[in-house]
Amino acid sequence: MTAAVKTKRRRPKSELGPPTNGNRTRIRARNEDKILDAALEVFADYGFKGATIDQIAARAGMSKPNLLYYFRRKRDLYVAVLERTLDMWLEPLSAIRADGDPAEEIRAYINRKLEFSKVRPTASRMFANEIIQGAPLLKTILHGGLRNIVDEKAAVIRGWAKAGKIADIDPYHLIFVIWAVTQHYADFASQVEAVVGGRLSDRKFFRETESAIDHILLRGILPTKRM
Amino acid sequence: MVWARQARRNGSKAAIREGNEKAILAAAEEVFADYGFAGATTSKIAEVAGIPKANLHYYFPTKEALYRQVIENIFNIWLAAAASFDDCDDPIEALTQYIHIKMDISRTHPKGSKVWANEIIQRAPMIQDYLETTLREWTASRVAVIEKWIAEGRLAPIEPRYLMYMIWATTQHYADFGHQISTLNNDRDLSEAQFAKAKDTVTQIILRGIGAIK
Repeated sequence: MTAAVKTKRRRPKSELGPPTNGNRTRIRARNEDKILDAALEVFADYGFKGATIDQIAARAGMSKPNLLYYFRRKRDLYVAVLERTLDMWLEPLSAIRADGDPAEEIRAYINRKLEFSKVRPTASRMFANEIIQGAPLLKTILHGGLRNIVDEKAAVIRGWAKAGKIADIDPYHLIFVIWAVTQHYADFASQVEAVVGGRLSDRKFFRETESAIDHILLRGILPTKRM
Repeated sequence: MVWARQARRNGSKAAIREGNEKAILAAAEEVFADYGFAGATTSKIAEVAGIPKANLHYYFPTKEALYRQVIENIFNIWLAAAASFDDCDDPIEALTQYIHIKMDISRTHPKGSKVWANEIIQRAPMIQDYLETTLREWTASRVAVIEKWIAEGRLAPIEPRYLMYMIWATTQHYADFGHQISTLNNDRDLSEAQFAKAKDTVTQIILRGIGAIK
């Protein structure tokens, strides 16, 4: 904490600029992650307006000057948290391969998405909250990588449908359905819990949920002869 | 707004009351959806409704009372959508109707859906009791109908609760995540034709998924 601030202040001029030392990069990445984890918790509890840099620094166990070295403004932190969530979600979508088995490719994507709802529910909830309120900052984030990846994978899915490997369904709406169903278990966790008393953190409930979703969605999109 | 003006023109006390309440609730739905419970104020709601703040408090003494009424309204609209479970003899027709009506509600009442979603995302601080009583009982009643269909061999065996969650999640996504969907649609809201496609795709995936259509 304080040590890091001192190091930074004492940093000789020759060390400015992009880090060349692997160790320094790792420390930087670790500190950034720690800050973003803390920021996520604070934003989720208090919203963008209610959150303060002081609260986030305290939650991260870091001094405010040290935090400001990594992220200069609250707005930067907020954008970075949402971008990290989106990157996390898009990674398994990017991983879908046109030459793979459609059922296996889609199953892997669904299961990774559901896994995120289990391990990063707060990230999902904060993202949903921002989308619902139509936060202006979010538009910029969504215009980034999201559109390109979704267009690219929609083309892959359309190719599968044309080749008769999956049913003739609209690829964009299929992707929305997968997002909706998997994120529901994070965003609507309190509703699911109130109705059935199940949570994804419970291993048995997670397995049942995963298998029910896989079963319905895959059967929903595969040609009848495959089943 | 419009409602309040219409009611004033109509004259009768009951009509005025009804018109004002409708105007306030419509405004409240919008303000709660955009600002959340904490961020919304009764002044803002009164302003959007085109009604003096004192009048608003005459109809709804607290922000909380107003909020609960907005939540209850969307919930009742959703409950009515599943009446097809009792009205239709054919399970496939009943489920198709339910999905279609749920999708239409996302199109016609996106703000109500968003208020509900926000409340749930915040871990339901105001309506926990509602979830554990009304919603739980109602869901159990729908699950019972689906189980009966399965027992009669009219529907392939599936876990009814997951089917219900899937229908809720997918249909409400088109309201709650509307901003994201528009962004992916070249910054335009879905057209009628695009929305019809969405409705059809969601219905197809779910009904095929449960083995109801081939």
